[in-house]
Amino acid sequence: MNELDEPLIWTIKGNMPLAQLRYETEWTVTDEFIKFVEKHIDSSGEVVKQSSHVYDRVGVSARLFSAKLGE
Amino acid sequence: MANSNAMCTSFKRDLLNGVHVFGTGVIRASTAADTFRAALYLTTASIGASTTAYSATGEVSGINYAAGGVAVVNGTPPAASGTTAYWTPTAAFLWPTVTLAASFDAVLVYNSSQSNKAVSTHTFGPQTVTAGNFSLTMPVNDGTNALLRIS
Repeated sequence: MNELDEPLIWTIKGNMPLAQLRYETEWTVTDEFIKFVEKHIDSSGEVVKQSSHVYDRVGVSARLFSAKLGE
Repeated sequence: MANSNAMCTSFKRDLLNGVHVFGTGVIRASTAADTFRAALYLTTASIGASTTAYSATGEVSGINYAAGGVAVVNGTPPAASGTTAYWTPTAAFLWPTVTLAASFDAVLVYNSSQSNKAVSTHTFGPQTVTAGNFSLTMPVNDGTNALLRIS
């Protein structure tokens, strides 16, 4: 097996062997958004790669009013 | 059917399309849609309803993040449902392979065709990104969930 056979992943420390990293995920669910965070952590406990994906469940709204005349 | 007191739904949609001008308008180069962008802001910033235009103050910075953010994909014109006019970008906002070490929690959508004037701000809880991706997927484009709604 040569080094090209080992899956690597890009991190803050450059390419690192994926098998040497711990993978953790975290979910946050609210009425406004759902967030998925994935972390790759090296043997020293440092987060060397972290991505975040947010689904905006609902945008923002404005309400217009027209005056009632004669009241 | 009796008459009623109402703000016309077509007017709300027309506002999103820049049809009516009650004050001083702007000179447009064409009838094409404006170009919009999305920029990320630190948790220490204070963007919100009082924001009038894009500013680099409080904007995130880091590896592979360009000041001013990313272009918003605008493939679907404003629509109306019931008495609500609405609009949503047609693609997620995506920042690939970035490192944003300082915590951020908000995005500003602004009009880069009109002096970077602010459109809306949206928060999504604090996070950082390390040699990874940050994506912000848009809500369903309807009268209840769309990114921008005028009711």
